[in-house]
Amino acid sequence: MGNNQTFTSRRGVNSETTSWARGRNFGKRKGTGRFSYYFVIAMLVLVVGLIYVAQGTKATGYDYQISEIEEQINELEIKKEDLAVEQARLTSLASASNNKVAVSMEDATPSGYAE
Amino acid sequence: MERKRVGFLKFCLFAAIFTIVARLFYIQIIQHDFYVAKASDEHVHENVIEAVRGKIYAMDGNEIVPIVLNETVYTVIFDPMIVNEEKSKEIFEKYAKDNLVAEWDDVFADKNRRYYVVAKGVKYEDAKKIVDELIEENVVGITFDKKTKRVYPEGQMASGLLGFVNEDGDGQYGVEGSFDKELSGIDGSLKAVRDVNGVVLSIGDENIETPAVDGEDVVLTIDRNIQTKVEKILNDYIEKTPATNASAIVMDPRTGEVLAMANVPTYDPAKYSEVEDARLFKNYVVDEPYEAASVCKTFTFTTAIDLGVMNANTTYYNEGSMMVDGLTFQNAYQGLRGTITMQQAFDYSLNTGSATALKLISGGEFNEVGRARLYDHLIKFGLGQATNIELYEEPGFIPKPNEYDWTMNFTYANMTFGQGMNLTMVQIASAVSGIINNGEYYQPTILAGKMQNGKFIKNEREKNTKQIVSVSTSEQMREMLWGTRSSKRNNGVDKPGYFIGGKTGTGQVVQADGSYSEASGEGEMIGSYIGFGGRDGELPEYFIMTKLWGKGQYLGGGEANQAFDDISNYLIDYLKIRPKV
Repeated sequence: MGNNQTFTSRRGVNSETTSWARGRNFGKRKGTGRFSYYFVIAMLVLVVGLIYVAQGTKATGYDYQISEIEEQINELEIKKEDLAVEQARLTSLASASNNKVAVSMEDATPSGYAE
Repeated sequence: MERKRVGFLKFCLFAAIFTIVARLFYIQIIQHDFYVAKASDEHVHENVIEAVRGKIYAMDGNEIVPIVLNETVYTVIFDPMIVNEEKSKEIFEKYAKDNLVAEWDDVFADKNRRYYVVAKGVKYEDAKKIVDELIEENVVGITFDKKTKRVYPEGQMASGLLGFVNEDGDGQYGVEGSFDKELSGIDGSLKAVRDVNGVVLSIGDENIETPAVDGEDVVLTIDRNIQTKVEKILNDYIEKTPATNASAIVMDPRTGEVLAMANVPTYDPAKYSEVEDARLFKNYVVDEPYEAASVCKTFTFTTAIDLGVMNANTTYYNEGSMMVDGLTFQNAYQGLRGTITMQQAFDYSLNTGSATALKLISGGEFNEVGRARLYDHLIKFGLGQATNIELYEEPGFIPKPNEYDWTMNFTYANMTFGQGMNLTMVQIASAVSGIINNGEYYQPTILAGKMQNGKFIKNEREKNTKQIVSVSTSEQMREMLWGTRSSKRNNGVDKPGYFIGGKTGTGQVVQADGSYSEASGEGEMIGSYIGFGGRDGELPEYFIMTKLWGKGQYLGGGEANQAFDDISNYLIDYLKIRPKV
């Protein structure tokens, strides 16, 4: 702040280089400087970035868990499929006809019908 | 001097910064799309999610049982350059010896060959053990390619009906071929960012998943017990007669449902690639029209009765042969000369009898009106055209009544006993089923329904019936067909208390020169039989058609009749049909 101030009269005419106006307070304004301002912004950006990275990493962690669970599901589905195939094989007529016990059996015929 | 140096350094610095900025501008702005695509190629992978092929079920009485399923197997591929020969050999010999498809010496003979299929069809459990051991032994360079294989727990049962699935996953022949669209489903896709291990990551906005739609599970009307038994009986007749082939169809005439559709010899659909004769893939019941001979007299007599010009007691004079359009045909049986009834003509399968029926249809003489009437009835019976069963079928052929200028009466006289028109077994079976079922014809079907989430959804068919003859005609034809089997009843083949009817057919075969095979006992003949059975006094519960043939072999309706007898007696027990006391 220098002394070269313009005085501005109520009519708006400058009489001096320093400008004065009625009803105004004067004095040094204290606050954050330009550097601090940028620093705070940078820090906020950094924090947001860290949160983003942390969330991203966390999400990726879930991806690995999902992948493992999906693998387990696939494995169980294959096992279920194999068991269904095994059950079908064991209960098939082709299997029964090759069974030693079944081969030695005689064909059943109805003995009669009650009317 | 110093100012100059500083100036020079400043220039260099600005030049360097400018170069970097310019380069960055070029890479990030001008070449933006190129590098984005390149990065995307690195991280984003698109995979096909294969739809699971639908299973095929059949009936076991009232129970639904699987007859075609899927199994996950692996094809093992070696990179001989980096695979440890000794360790890998030892592991694979231990767990997948039966699946090896290559000789070890061949696999490692050329180490520059980076791709060698070593094993196929390795089951999951074995593959898992192999992988565990490979990891433990630190063996690398082996790829396991996951595949789905069709499994047939009933072995060769109904192979001609079911068809198979080829290496490309396409259904071929039979049910697999005709239901391929329903069974295949629709493949899905997964486009996603993956890490180095291939794990799908949820980062990025390029992940797109289109889920696969699995194929439908199809339930057939085929009863596996009846199918197995029919195939066994047909195989027995191939062993004890000169026949090399045999086919049969068993239907429920009250619904049109096919209970068995058999063709023997059969083949193993799991080893279809080993089949040398492609004719084994044919389903002769639906895709082989033939001249079915005297079984077709059933259609002629039905037409005459339905038009009110004949009944079983109508008489005519049998001369043993007949001349039409200047051409003569004869009866196979030369006895029974003189005035006889139509029932006798039917019993002895006299060609003059069925030709006389056509004369009656024509109003006394062979003419175009009679031909048109017979033709209209044959078409109404669904003959010479696709039945619309859910399988690939040949339509066959029936000459139109005014197709040729001369000898058309002779052609039609021949058609009355099954010559000159080509029909498939399924057409004949459906038509006769309709005739004996009070005239109510059901479109034949092999589709009982579908399985959805473990529940059976019945196949609801619309407009699948039509009245092809009157109830009275149906009753009379049942009696005529019953009459022809009197010898079977007298010999005790047919059990008392059951109403069983049928008709033989011994068909000559058209030779390469267009002439018919010898009608004597030495020429090539095809034996056929149509028949039905059920409780006496009630509508028939089953219909059976059998056919036996062999290249150059004589097979008469008699052999086919015996095969019918065996199937019929089995069905009476299996279906628990009570006799009328």
